[in-house]
Amino acid sequence: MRRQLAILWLGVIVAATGYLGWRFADGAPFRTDLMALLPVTDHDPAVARAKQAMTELVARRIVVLVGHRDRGLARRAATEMAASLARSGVLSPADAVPDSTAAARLGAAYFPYRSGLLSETDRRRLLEDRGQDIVNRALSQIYGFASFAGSRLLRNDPFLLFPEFLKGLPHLGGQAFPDDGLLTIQDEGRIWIVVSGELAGDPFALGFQSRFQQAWDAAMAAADDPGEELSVLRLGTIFYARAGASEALAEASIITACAVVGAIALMLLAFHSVTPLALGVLSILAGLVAALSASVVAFGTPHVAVLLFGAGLIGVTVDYSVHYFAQIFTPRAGPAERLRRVLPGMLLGAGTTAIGYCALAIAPYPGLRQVAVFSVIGVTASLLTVILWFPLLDRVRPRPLPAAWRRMAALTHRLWTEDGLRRVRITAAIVALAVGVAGFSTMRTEDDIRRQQMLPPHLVTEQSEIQRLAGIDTAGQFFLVEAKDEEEALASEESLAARLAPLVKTGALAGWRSPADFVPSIARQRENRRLIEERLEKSQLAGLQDRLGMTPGADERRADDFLDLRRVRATGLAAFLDALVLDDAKDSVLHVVALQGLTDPAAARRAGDGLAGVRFIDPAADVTALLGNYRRQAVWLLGGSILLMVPLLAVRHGWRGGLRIMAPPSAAVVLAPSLLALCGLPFTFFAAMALVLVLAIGVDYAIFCAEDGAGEAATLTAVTLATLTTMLSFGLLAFSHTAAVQTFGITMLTGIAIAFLVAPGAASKPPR
Amino acid sequence: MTFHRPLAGLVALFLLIGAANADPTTIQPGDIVRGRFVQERHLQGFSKPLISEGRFVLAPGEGLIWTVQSPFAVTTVVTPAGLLQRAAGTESLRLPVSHAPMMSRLYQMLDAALSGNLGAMEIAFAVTRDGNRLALVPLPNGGTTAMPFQRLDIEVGQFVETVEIHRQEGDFDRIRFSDQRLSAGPLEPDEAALLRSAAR
Repeated sequence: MRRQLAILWLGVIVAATGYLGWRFADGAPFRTDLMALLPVTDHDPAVARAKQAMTELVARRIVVLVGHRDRGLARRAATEMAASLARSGVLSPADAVPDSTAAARLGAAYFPYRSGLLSETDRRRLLEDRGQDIVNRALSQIYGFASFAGSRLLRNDPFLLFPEFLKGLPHLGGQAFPDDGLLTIQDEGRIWIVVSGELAGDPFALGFQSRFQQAWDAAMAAADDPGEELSVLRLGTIFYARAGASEALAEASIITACAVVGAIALMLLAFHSVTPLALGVLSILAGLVAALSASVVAFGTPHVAVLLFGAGLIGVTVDYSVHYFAQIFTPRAGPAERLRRVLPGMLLGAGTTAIGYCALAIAPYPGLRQVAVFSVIGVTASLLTVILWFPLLDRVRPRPLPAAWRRMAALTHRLWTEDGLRRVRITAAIVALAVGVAGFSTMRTEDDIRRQQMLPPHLVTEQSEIQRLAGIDTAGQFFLVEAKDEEEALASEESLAARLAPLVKTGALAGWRSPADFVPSIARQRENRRLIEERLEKSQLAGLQDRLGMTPGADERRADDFLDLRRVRATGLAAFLDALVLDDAKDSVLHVVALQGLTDPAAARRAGDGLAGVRFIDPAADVTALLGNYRRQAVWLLGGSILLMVPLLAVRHGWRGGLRIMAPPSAAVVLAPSLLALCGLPFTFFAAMALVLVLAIGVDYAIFCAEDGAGEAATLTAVTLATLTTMLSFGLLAFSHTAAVQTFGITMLTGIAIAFLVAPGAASKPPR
Repeated sequence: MTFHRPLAGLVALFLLIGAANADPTTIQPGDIVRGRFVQERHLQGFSKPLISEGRFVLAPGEGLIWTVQSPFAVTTVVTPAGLLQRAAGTESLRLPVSHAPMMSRLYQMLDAALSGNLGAMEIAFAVTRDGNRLALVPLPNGGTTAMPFQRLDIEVGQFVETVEIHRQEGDFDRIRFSDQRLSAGPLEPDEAALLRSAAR
């Protein structure tokens, strides 16, 4: 029976390995964006869509500036680079540089509606009844140097209001202006050419990232000039995502490799035999293969963080092998006898670990759910491997425990049991209490996700340089305008614009882009017509025409109806406008007002207050608020896990025993964050999640100490080895460059160390 | 999207006039050309040409001050940094060169022309000479973007005497220069101040 089960298990593992080999044949199917780890929070589909659209708009675009002292070389390098990227199929040059006819074509679409179109300045002049200023400007443009006002324009727009309106339309290139077919920026003797476009794939998909990287390298090679005076600046999510992903992958491989090498070294050192090592590696591999294939089946493209946290799993799964093989240091010679001795502790340990990981799954974080599934499957598979295979493969003879290990293992135990150390224990308890109190009173929390992602400094520098040169700085925050029709939406945007304008003066905001900047509402167009008629034409037109010797009357059609977004969008020349219109159905309209150079989000939020259908959306702040919520929830999960573990332990150890076993890991959970708070580290959601694991793993140590009761050297050695391997695997996360992962690692390292030190306190019987 | 292109083209054109104005055999670095002009704008459908007159100061390398005195006072200052127009005591137009990269390239053309290299203009224009008359027609793809005129006729004496700018729709401008004289610098303080204000 046992043999059949072992063979069945072998079949499962072989099948899982085959499945992974097939799925990984064309690259690892991992996702890398941090946001994919976060829950979907927006119950309002409109907000969710708007965020998605804005993310797409920003995430899928890249802007590259190619700079050189020599205009010709800059242009050639930029053109070659753009061509190379386009050829490789990773970039579609979405923004065609407006050619000389584009302005004319866009102007032609607006021209019939000119009687309702006014620039912001001219509108203000007419509202203040300063029509004479407009006449003066027209005269200075007509008589002045290099006049562009031809007869056709003057006959149809004698006050030259229309060119002013066109000039006031949002200029999409920021400081970049078209020069002979290329968007160009001039800056202190350097010419920068803008290369921009839309990615043809998902910037967070590893497969696309490596395709993009290849294309990028090729494009850089194509653009390179022999003088090496060429500068290239990059702006785009994919550059960050790529850097983050290669960092995460490199970290994951290094951390996994270190954990594996460390575990191997420890096993060899402890057991002086290859069998425990070989079988230990076997159980780890079986655990990883099962966990990874289950994740791929369950989630399709698991997150790369699963791999990172999954490295920590090695530290947990190796414990079962360690506990099993520590039995060779006892007189128990037969594999069945050895297994029988450690099985209850293992099952209890696996049970409590599973409770701890399942607590992670309760938090509605897709990424943490993935970690939980990965870990529970991995732990179970490793445990099954130990139970089903080890007794069949174990041929190791009993041997004496090396004296050094015995002494080392006994150290913590002595701390708890020796009468002479009673005073030390009391002092330690007082210090712990003081640390706890002091730590909790100085503890500060941090939920801002932006401070928990390390961004590569060179990319940040390039980004701010591009923002300075090009003057484009679209904020993550934006306004969402919901309305029953286009007219209502445009009117809301005009009200919003009136409130945002003062913010530009105070410097809280550099500017904004809304659909109403391209097309005024019908009400506004009507008002403009009235202003032009009553405050300009009535008093000034006859005089101006007389002065210029013009025949009265325009000869080109003025539309009787009003301009709408559809007509402007139909020109295909307002790509940015398309991005701002999310929905233009008959009965529900959804627009976005994008913000530029936002320095005071609170002021912008206030500007939208009380405007019907207008909402300020701050995705980063939403994430921060959410992380705060889940940090608090995680603390409750900790308490919940403790309450869930006690009954499980009580089944075997009774209620008192269960509580005694829970005491040491609970102390670790309280003391670790206090100690870190005293060191000035903030308490984050990720630290809270680490504590859930400290509890799950720490309770294992207490369980084995309690199971043993007598303080058997073999058990203590196993617990020591288990602690060392766990600290090795999780502790290595402390060296991650991602602050969130680092916090997780440091908390684990501290918590596990404390749990290990206090675990022998769980033993019920006095030592012999 | 920029709508300054027609304007930039005209600015460039006047700089070229300046270049043609300066006789490379007599002009020295630091020299200044001063003179008067009368401009007629012949516009289709208008009963009479729009006539304006005023004076100009051209300081090669530093800029041009174009002052219309009647019938409407408006001063335009063009420097390598950009263009500034003032009328009735207020700034009515400001166009930094960075908003019209083409302008600065035409400046370079001007520099070349001033140092005697009129051939630089032939990158952008088909130039035909007939005695003291010059005709410039923008090349379809002469390294610059579309020019807002179809033909330019220049009559050269000791200086440029007249310029005719022929545009679409049958409109044309005729500028006649008079009282032109060359003097060694420096600029008057108010002239220098005007040039500086455009560079701000």
